[in-house]
Amino acid sequence: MSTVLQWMALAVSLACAGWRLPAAVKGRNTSLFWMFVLLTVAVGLSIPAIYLTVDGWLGGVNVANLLIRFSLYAIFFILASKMAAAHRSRRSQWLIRGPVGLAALGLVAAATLVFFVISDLPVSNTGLAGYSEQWSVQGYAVAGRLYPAYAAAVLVGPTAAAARTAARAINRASAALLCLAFIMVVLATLAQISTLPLKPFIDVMSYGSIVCVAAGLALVWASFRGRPHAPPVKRPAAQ
Amino acid sequence: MSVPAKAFQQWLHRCAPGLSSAEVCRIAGIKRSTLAQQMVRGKVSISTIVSIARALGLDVVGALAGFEKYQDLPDGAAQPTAAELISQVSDMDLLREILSRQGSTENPPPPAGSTFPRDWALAPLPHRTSVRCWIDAVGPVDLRQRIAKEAAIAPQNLSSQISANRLAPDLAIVAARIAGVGLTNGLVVTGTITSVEAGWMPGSRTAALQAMPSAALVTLAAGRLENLGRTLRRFDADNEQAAALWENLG
Repeated sequence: MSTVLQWMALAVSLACAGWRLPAAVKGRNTSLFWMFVLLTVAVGLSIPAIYLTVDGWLGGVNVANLLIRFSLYAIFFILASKMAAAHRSRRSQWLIRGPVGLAALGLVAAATLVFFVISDLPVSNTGLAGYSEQWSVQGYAVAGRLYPAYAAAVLVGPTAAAARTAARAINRASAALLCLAFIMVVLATLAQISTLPLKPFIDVMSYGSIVCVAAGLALVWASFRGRPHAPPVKRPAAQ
Repeated sequence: MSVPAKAFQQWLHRCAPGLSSAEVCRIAGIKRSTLAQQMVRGKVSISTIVSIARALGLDVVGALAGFEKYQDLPDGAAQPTAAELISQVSDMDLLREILSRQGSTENPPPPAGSTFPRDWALAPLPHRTSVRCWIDAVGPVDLRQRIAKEAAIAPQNLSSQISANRLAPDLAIVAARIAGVGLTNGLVVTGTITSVEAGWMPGSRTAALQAMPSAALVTLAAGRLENLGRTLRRFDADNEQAAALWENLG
């Protein structure tokens, strides 16, 4: 089940990167293209066959895992910045790109690096599962979850509001899918760092969130493609 | 909103015994697939019956009364009140009327008690906010809640319909019944039947408008413009929201 989900998520990520390529070439929202490239890297590296190969190229000391973490931070920073701006949430923009958001990102990145350096990780091991008894690896895992959960939590409010209030059904549907994705990210983190009985669903929530984000963005794109040229919504005639 | 397919078939057999379904659809301008779908679902819509009755040259209200749930429509029909008639004058016609009443040296206002001269016709029914204006004009303040309760629908669904200038025919009849006005009047404001089919006096809207004192007319128009302003602001906000979404994620 987990392997199928992983390959499915990789295919979705790759397809999304390919889908954003023409727009990126034209200079439109290039950060979204790079976000999907990073997502493809992160999802690909979570698959043992790919991880072990790539980590072997990088010296076989699990640097590939660090690459996953920093890819995820970049992905969530880009996604959250874009989402907050797209939903015109000043509070969310401040919480992501403002001093608080940047401090959170810097702290988590620094903590991740420190935990990685002080851990003893001599041999490639997917997900560092073989080193989970080390306290520093446990700290590294928690730190890796914190920033994505923080960014996702910031976005739940604006996307939930848009799911209720957006004028077009397609935009409401996309906001609902994105909101669901962010809720799943938060719940997956809670499942990892708390005693809530959610552990069996961690994989489903993690990869399900990727599928929901991709589907939500695809709906935004469909809405964008089908937009009236000007103005976006026909103004009612003052009959 | 609909009648049982069996009752519809019996009605059609009574009204047009020699016509096949295909012929009925052709003369009434209904797609055959539409009628077939309604028959399969077992529910035929009021608009289908109205279209067929019109095509057959029947009295539309009388045709609806051929169905059990609408049999009291002819007896419950009544001329619209002045408030109902004014509610069916569009915003722009109200403004036009105000402008036409403004006296000038060439065109002084008529003496009190006489009507204002006018050389333009009112826009046809229904107008952009016919349903909302009618509900506001006929109702006690809790009319919406009572309609929702009586028809057993969620108040949000009723609000959505009214905002979209729609009201299911059954709800329009329920509203008229609660408000104590002519039962067919709600069908007129929703565009289900015409004012002529409902038996409204020709020119009654114009007469009601002309009889309205200028102060009341200006107050009404101000209220309508305020509502229009709110609607336009909401549309602008929706546009800005969509534009931001497309700009950042499109």
